[in-house]
Amino acid sequence: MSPMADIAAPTPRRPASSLRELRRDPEHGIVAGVCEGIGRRLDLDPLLLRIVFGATTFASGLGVVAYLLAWWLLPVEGVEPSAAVAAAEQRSARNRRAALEVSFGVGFLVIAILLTFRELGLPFSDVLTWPLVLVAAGGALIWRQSVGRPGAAGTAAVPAPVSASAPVAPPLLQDAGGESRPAVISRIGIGVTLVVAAAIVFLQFSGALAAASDVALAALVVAIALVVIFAPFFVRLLTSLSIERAERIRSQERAEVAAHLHDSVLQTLALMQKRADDPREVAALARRQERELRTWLNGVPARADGERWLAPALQAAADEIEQAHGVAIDVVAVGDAPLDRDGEALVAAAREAMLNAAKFAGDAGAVAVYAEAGAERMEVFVRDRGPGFDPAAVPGDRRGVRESIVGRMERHGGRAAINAAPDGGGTEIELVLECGDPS
Amino acid sequence: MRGPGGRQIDRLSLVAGLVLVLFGVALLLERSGGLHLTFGTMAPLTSAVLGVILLVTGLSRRE
Repeated sequence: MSPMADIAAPTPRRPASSLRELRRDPEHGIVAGVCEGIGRRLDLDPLLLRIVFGATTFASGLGVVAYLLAWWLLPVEGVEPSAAVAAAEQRSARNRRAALEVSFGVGFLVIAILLTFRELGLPFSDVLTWPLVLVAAGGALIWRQSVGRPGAAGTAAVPAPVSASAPVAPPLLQDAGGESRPAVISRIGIGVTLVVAAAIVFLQFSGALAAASDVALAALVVAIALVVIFAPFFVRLLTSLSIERAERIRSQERAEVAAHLHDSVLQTLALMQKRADDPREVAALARRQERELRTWLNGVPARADGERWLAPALQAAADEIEQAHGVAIDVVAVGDAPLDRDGEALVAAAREAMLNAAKFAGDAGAVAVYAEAGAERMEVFVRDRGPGFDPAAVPGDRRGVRESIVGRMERHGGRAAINAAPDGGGTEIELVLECGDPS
Repeated sequence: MRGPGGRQIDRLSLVAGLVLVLFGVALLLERSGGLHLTFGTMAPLTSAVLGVILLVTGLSRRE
């Protein structure tokens, strides 16, 4: 039986089964690592690919176009997004595209209505129509930025830091979705430009632009004078507001940490003093507290969409069994993935394996659970150091392993393997579930 | 939305199909002389068709 360390070893690299697995390797490549990455994935000599790219570049120029395209399209080797991040990015991209389609749809309908009015001879002239359209578009952009988008915070893929729990209003130039400052500024800039363009178009059509230009010049001069006078005060006000905001964040973070320590660590320490005569209970309390503290420090937020994911589901099952049986269960998860019906079956089978290990091998030390989740497969290994058993010698009426683990995995398109040594070498249960194409 | 037999109905296909059928009927009427279509009538009609399809696509894609 292999030790747990062997399970955690990285799997050897295999040739790409689809174009989606192609990567570029700038670290080992000459320019952008396109040939190096493709060659490694397809098991080809990168030199051959370089010759092909070079020859096609000199022959028709296509090589350099293909290389640039590959540079743009291929992701970099070694920066694989986790399944959780990939799913969040996919959802975010889908929502962005949906918003764009809705905007264009509304735009086309508005144009259809305006054209119909014109065709019917209703009093709608260009003097009013186009400025109104421009004002509506620019105003929508500015309002959307100022008020914020509903649900934007929920699409953030990056786990929120500890300080995010403090109820501090986002700065003006950063919306709830955490977009970068240049993106926000450009959106506001486009909105302001559209509104100004609407005003200019209206003045131009109505013939008042020449008169308005004199007024605008006077207003501009006054505005410049006001800026020169009030700019230092304004800058000082902004600086003091920024300092005050930073102080408030720090103060709220301190209060948050103090409250959390009081509610969790101090309470657990008091409980441990009371149970000092039961080492097993004390150890269980310490482990539970350690896990809770680590989760809090890592700042992993609760998923608001109610979707269950593999790693938290396994951890919850381990916590439950650990609490019920007083056996330490270490859960290590690499990657994460959302759970569908088959994934839920995998968690249920893993829970049964943990339960068996806690029941029959709890005295031999901690139970180790190792999970690995990716876009294509999920694997869970449950290992104990108990006396072990012979799977063939299990009586027919004992259905725990046969039905709840092996049968359940097979019914959901997965497989389960039991590596048990009856001579006291422990038991390892391997659960594997191949996932469908995420797209 | 589910159709007969519990099969999931694709809202986008349904709306796009209906809109295209209406479009086809308008063209048939024009062909048979029952309707006189000019650029002034076709432009808003085409724009409305595009708008409805895009709106339904976007709304059905949103989460």
